[in-house]
This record gives sequence, structure tokens and C-alpha cells, in this order.
Amino acid sequence: MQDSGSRDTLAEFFGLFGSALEHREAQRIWTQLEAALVPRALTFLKRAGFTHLSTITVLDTGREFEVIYHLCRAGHVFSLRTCVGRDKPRLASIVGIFPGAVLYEREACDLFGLEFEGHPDPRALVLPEGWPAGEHPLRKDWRPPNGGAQDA
Amino acid sequence: MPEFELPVGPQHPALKEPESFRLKIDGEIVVEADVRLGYNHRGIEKACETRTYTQCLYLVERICGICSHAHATAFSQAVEALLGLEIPRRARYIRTIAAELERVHSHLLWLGVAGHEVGFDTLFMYAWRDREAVQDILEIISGNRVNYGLNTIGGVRRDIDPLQKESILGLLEPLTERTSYYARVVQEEGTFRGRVDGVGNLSKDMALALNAVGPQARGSGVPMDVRKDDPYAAYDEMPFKVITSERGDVLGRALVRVLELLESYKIIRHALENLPDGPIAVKAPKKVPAGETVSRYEAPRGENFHYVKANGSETPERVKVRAPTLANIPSLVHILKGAHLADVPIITAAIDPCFSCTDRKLQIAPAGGSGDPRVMTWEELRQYGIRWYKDHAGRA
Repeated sequence: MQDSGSRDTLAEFFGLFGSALEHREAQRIWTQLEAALVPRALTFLKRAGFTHLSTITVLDTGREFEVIYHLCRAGHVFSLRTCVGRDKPRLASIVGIFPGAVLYEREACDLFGLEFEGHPDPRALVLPEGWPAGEHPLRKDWRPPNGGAQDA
Repeated sequence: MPEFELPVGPQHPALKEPESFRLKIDGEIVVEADVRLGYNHRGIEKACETRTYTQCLYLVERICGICSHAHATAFSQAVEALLGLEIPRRARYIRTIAAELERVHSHLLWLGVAGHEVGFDTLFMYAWRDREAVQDILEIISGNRVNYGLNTIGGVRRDIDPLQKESILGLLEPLTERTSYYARVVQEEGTFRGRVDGVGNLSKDMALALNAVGPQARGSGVPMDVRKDDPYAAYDEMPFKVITSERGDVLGRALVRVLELLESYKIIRHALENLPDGPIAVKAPKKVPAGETVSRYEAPRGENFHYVKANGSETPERVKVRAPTLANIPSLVHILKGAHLADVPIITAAIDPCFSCTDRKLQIAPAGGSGDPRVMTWEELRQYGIRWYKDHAGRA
């Protein structure tokens, strides 16, 4: 991939979506957008050659959830961040754009309690059967039901 | 004939790891496939949030028994990026050597499993015998056959001396010869070819659309390899080709792995013969300044992706791991549809699934355990082992 092509893509992206570059290391791009713009932005990036969705990372900042989509084009990683409120953590599913996101969204749903509108198959993925509803272990305020006691 | 649902697993659906498949079948044909994950969740991402970076390094190394160096290196790279540490060139070479040895170990293991899944157990015996040589090499370097504990934040913990170098180069000779023979077996031996030719077809378009990684993608003609695309360790200085196959079937994936073995030997030889002088590690501070980064690594099964966020303390704020098997499950489910039931094991094995990697996060501690973990010293454990085998002699 040409580096100049990469620069053109980025200039067009930041022009179109008006977001700012958060920080940049070699071949790594980080930016933030409001949730409503994410599907359009991802469609744009996919057309620009960022066809590989490596994964979706979710962070619990205590105030809100940050959802980061990591897209790759050869050696470049574009990390697109959006925030959703803790009281109503809902956002649009991107499975229509990246079918490969199907398990990443289900995982985020289990472990953080995010809700992805339009997800074709929102069943639990990694939590066991009979796991209590509303318990999302990767949230920062989550504590194990038995106080974290280990059994041998 | 009415369709019915066939549960496979969670005990040993393909490899000796738990995962559950629900297959809807119409006669001999799979019409619907569903995978249930989670049987190996151990709470590793959550656990990382309460451990120091050094402790996390050893924890992530244990995400997987085979790709242990893959996770430890991906994590080290992320932390080193956050610290702004440049690791010594010799350390980058040693990481590369271990990475390729791990790939050889993994691909030979896979070749044996693939042979076993298609009823060709001779191939299984051969491949696993040869795999012993790689494990011996890993033991020469690290003292361990698995979980090498080679990495540290800032470099590696063990050097390779000239004597070790010679014995490794000696062991690589027969391996190269054997692997060239396997490349012929895979392509020409009817027993193998008959079971994998045209089985489990994944088109290039679907591999791209479903974000497949590693040999699963390369076997469908997608030339994706983090070692070339986004070089880490010393890969920018290594001579090797990215192996792809346009076939898109299980045979294509097998060819990619076997030919990759030959590339790995080339890399190991080059790295050993050109091992730069100098230190093997730099000292890393315990506290990591606030920031976030991603790290990519081409594990034997494909792209391994780590995200690390630091908050300025000695423990990470968040560690996220996406191992290659999870990325390959959507394409696996896709190719299982329409497959013959009898081909399900080899199609599943052909992604080289690692379910321990896939399930890594959650620790389930049921209430009411007995709470008496036994702690032994190394000597006690050794004595226990000797006693156990004496008592059980002849009964295995």
C-alpha cells in the first residue's frame, strides 16, 4: 500500500466527518466520533480499503463505555472510538457492514451489557447457561457473586 | 427426510478441547451450524486489571499452551510501545527465533491432527515424532517445552550461546528434510488428498468479508500476514515468502501450513547465523505512563491482536485480547453449511482451532468450594511424581 494513498484517505475522512486525530504512532490512527456517525464512517473506511475488522474493544471509564473499532489495511490500524452512556448503553450493530463483527458484538454484549440494535443473533456467547441477567463481569464495578472466593 | 439437530461436543469436537457445535442436518448434509463458546473462560482480561505488568506477562502467556510466545510477545510489544522502549536488536532476533519455532511446533502438531481426522494415523505418528525435535530445541533455549517464559518487558530473559546455536542448526536439518517429504505426502498421497480436495470451500471474497485470518485466509488466496504487513520483532530483516493457495479448500489450508514450515526453517537459520551481538534486554520501569496502544502478531493460527490501556500505575487499566480462532469462527460456520457430516471434523480442524485462546476472560467460581488448594515445593512435587509412577507402574 502506498503511504500517499493512506494520507489521502485520512484527509478525506477527517474532512467528511469533522473528527480530530487523537494521537498517532507510526501506522496507527486513533479518532473519535459520535455513535450516530459510526456506521457511515465504517462504510467509508471499508470502501477505502480498511476491509479487515481486527476486533472491537470496549472500555468502562466509570462514566460511560468507550467502544473502539479496530480496522486494518495491511500494516495500518485505524481505531475508531465512540462513547455510549452507562444508563442506556445502546448502539447500532455493524454486522451489516462487517459480517465478521458478529461474535465481537455478542462478546461485548455479554461482558459489558452493551446492546447492539439490529444484531441478527444477540444470544449470549461466552457466559454460561444460567448466568444471572444484568451481571456483566468486565464492567469496572462488577464483583463476583460470592465475593470472589476461590474454590479449590 | 426431516431435518434434525445433532449436538457435537462440548467434549472433544475436533481437538482435545471443549467446544459445542449444534449441527442441523438433512440426511448427510449440514444445513445449519452453530458454535457455543465459553467452556474455557478463565477471567484473564479481568485478572490483568489487578496484576502488575510483569505478572500480566506470565498470565497472558498462559492463555494458550501452544501460542504462549505469541501472546507474551504481543503483550510485551504493547507495553514497550507505551513505555517508548526500544528493545535491543539481539532480543528482537531471539523473539523471532522463538516465534518461528512455536509456529513449527504448532503446524507439525496440526499436520498430525489433520492426518488423524481423516483416518491417516501414520501421518499423525510421523508428524508428532518430528515435533519432538522442535520441542527439544525450545527446551534448549528456554528450559521449557511449552510456556517458554522467554519474554520480559524490554527484551528477552535467555540468550542463545554458540553451542546451543550449533545444536539447533543440527536439529533443523532432518526437520527440513522431513517437511519436504510431508509437502509431497499432502499433495500426492491419495489417502490424504481424497479427504481434503474440494472439502470445506471458502472463497476469497467470503474469507475477506468474514475477516478470516492466518492459514484460513491465506488458503483462500488472501495474502495477509502480519509478519510482512506490519513487521514486528526482526521480521523486517528476515528472508521469507508469504505462502498462499488459491484453492480455498482444506487441501489449500494444509499446503499453506506445510510450505510455511519450510519458510520458518529459513527464518530460524537466518536469524541464528546473523544473530547480532549486544545485550538481550533493557531495564523497564514498573510504572507505565497513561496511554493506549494496539499490538499485532502473526500467531501460527493467524493475527493475534492485543489492546493495552495504561493509567500511569503499575497495573493496566484494560487488556483486551483477540486470538485468531475467534476471528475464524464466522468463516468456519459458513463453510460447515452444506458440508457432509463426515467432513465436519476435518473442516473444523482445518482452522486449527484453539479454544483456550478463544475463551479467555471469565472466571467462574461456583459457591461452596472446599477451599483447600494444595501447595507443594518443587522437591515435594518431584517426589510425588516419582511415587505416583512407582505405584501405578504397568497399569497405564
